[in-house]
Amino acid sequence: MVDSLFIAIWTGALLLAAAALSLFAAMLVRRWLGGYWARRSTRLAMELAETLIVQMEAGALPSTRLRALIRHPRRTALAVIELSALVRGRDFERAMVALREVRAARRISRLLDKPGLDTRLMAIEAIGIVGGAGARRALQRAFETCPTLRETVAAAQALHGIGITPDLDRLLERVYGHRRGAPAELANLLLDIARADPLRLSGALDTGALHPSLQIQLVEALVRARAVSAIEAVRRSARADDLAVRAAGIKALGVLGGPGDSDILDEAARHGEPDIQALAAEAIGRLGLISLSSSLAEMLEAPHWEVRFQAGWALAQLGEAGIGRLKQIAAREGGQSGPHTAQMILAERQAA
Amino acid sequence: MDALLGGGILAAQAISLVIITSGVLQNAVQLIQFSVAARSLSRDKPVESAALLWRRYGNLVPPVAILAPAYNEELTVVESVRTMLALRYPRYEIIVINDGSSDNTLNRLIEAFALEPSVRAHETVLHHAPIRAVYTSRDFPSLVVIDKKNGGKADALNAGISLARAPVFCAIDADTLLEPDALLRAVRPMIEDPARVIAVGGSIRIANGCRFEAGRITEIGLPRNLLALFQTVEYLRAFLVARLAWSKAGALTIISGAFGVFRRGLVIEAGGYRTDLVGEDMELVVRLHHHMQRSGKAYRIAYLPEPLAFTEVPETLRALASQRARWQRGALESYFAHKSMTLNPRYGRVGLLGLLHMLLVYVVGPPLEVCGYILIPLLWLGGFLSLPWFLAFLAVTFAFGVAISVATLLLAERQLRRFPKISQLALLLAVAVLENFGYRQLNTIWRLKGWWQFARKRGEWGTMTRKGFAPSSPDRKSQ
Repeated sequence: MVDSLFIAIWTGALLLAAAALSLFAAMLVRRWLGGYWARRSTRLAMELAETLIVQMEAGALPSTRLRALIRHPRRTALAVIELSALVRGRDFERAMVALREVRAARRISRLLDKPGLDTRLMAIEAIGIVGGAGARRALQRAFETCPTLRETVAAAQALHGIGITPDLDRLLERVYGHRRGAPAELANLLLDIARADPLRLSGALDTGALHPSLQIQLVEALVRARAVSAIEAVRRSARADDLAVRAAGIKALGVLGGPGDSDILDEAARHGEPDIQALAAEAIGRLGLISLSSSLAEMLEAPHWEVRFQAGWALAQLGEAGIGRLKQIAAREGGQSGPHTAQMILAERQAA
Repeated sequence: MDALLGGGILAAQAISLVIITSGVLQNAVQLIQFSVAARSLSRDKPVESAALLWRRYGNLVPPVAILAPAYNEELTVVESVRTMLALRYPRYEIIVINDGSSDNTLNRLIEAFALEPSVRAHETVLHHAPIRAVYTSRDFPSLVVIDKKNGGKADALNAGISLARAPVFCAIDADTLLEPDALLRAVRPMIEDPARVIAVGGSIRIANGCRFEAGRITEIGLPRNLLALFQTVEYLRAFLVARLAWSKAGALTIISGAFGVFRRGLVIEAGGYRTDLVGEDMELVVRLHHHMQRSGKAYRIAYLPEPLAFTEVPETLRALASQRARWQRGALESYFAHKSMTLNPRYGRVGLLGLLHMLLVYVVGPPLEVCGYILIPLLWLGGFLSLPWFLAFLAVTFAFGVAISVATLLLAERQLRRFPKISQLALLLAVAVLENFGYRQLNTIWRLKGWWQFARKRGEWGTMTRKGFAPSSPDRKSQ
């Protein structure tokens, strides 16, 4: 019994090794045979890039060569994305006009039916960069029919990029239903929308129980867009029950807020959570709220280094009054952490 | 007499059965790991274009502090820092920690980057040896150099964590060469799943045989040295298959000290790196699991299969033996520091799978394997075991090994296209077969040596002569 089991193990191992070796040999032969196609593909990718550069320089009508070169959708999508990372402005637009003339977006849209998510995402992004009527149709279709949230978000952003505002309510509805909250890429779309229509986002913040990750993304988008008109929504976030949302709100107040936010920040400075306190100190420093220098001085005695450090820097940002206060604290005798932190902040400031 | 002989045969069979069963189990685990890794790689392919990553995440990345401890690295440190300064990442600072080097490491840095003494407000949040000075540069504002008393790599990293201000840090070796997009790729899991991902490990590639210019890789080559070639296949098996599979199972117990990204606050909460161990990288990851499982928060330690960094590997038997013995000691220290997690349902998958695997591979594995190499052939030659027993031993020792090594190479090539030339692949295929006949057995002996050193509580690090990453050709010879 044991002997036959051992013979089976031996046979199985030999078969596995033989299978692995055969597959590897097959892969080597395939690589060797496919060498011509790989070299051709590289050559065509380089030729496509060169043709697009010529197009940028000359701005001439697209050549038949360009039509031939964009036949391979994946290669075209990659070329568009790589080029967009290197060139901007009018030159880039000329290349895209040429691609629109040869209906490149339509070609790339063939990738939208491929099985790999990453390929489909890349296609959506490339179509958005090329733009034009073909792109609009392909992106609308992607926005409405794509199976994953990441694709829907990418399609929405690409649509926004070509001047079509996507149905935000519909998008957010999909995000609400997503068990893991908002995908990271949504932040880029929200930023674009915040720049164009900040009140639309602040309105979305007020719609009710959003997933905390989505609330954070909305607040961060408003901050990055410097959307002062959305300050009321940001203030509400700075008092949210969820600590992560509250942290995002307080951070946002440091950019969008003003003297009118002293109460909220003072309250946050006395919060039990060190992360909230540290963010409040940072915001007070950024806004230059001298009226809260006493709170900062108190925070310099906090048990957590991050709180003391941010409070010290915030005092240093309050001008002469704050620095004077820091010097007073630094000169204090005794083994408390406050004077030590103040001394270090002053020393670093001086060294810088 | 007959009864004695019968008893001897029974005892020999019992010992052999344990050894063969353990071999079968280990190979079965490796086969499962292989299928998990293959599935994961075909489903979540790495983003091939850096331009795509920039478009998607360029605005969203967290600030990162790169911590590079340096001890007697005068040959490589300047080149490594230049590579770090050239990284494509919007918000990062580089903290080089000169850990009391007795060579010219600090002077080389001061000269190369026009460093000046400076002050950096900080609190000693983790235990480390005293800091003698902090240097910054007007020309390179993102570079900070800490000069401290010698205390070991873990101690240096703790000092770096204390002085870092970014919420995320990336721990590397001073001789690690990073890919230009390494940080951007590494923080991707943290951006995509910010609430759960607490640490990210990445694949390390072997630098021996590659061509570097100005700290950048310009040509992928294979080492000329046979030992380094063996390690090329071994690294693929360890990084691409094993770690990817463990991370998918939620039981990854190691992130390489050569490149790992961590949330700073959590590492401080967990107590930072332990300075009394040689396997501080593995111990920290196991401790993070311990900490997170006890806190009851959902978390994930992610692993990226795409290569993020290059490192030089030993090319002499002596250096390699010392390194492997040290790794084994480190693994044993990590296991015994957290052995209470083994099979403890309170620690979830990491207790049930990760720690059990550590027990079988690091604690029980080396003595059992060495016993097998000696006993089974002797017992077979002495007529105590029949041929099928010996064949089963050969299967678990050699044949499965060949299958797994070749399959790993195949997987790496299919999914990641790591080697551009067919001749390189053909050579690696030969190496993947050959390494099972001698190299793996040597490795087990070195691990047993580490096991013995651990039992005797020896803790020295050993040394490795580095050649540096100056412009070189793949034909570069060992010095």
